[in-house]
Amino acid sequence: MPAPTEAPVREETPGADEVITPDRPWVVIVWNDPINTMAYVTFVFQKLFGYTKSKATKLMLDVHHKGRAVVSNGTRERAELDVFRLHEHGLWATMEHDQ
Amino acid sequence: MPRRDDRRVARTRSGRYEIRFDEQERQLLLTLRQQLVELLETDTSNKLLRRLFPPAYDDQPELEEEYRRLMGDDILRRKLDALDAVEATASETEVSEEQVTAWLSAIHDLRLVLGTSLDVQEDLDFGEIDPTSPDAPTYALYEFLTVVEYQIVEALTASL
Repeated sequence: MPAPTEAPVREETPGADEVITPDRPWVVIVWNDPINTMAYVTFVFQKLFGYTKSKATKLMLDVHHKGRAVVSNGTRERAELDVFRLHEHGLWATMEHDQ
Repeated sequence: MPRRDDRRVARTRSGRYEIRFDEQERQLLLTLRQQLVELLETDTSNKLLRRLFPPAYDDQPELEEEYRRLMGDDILRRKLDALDAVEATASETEVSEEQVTAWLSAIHDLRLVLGTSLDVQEDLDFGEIDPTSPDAPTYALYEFLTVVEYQIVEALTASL
């Protein structure tokens, strides 16, 4: 897996092969919605999380094909802020304890 | 021969945004805007607005209630502010990045509401809409807003 190239301001999106550290118990999930276009979702991910277009597109495709994707993780306060910002942008996002 | 550019929204070289709507389209947007503002100001629990105020928690009613209580007004305020900005700039032919971002927010919210009323599904094909159906005008509006939203996203992506 290539090293991240963008500035590490935001947490990396957890994938199946990444470790979730014990002090980051919440994940933010974006759910698929047929009304949201791929271009819009990708744009919001880039804008809100600073992801590259490539990473944002991959996340968007996960949402589209799998029905949902984890877009960020962190403390409860951080997750709530991310959910709020996603809601401000008209995306359906929820937060839950990481399993 | 140069390709005709029929985009409704485009970024200028100086980082501002051209709004190329004709008069009819501007009036249409203002009418839709007014309807949404009225709904937001009088009936936020209306089913048509459910996508504008999605839940933050799947299965935690107390945390959800707290989120609504703390954040609900801010989300509503932001949406109303964006709709106000659209009204204020409705006749402009060039707007700032902040203003076009407000247009994007307003248009996205209008799509969410129209899409909810149409119960849009993943497989929607505008080419298959029966032009004689009573929903045809709403689909046409939804399609127009979809195109404009896409163009604003394209234009804003250059600024990311």
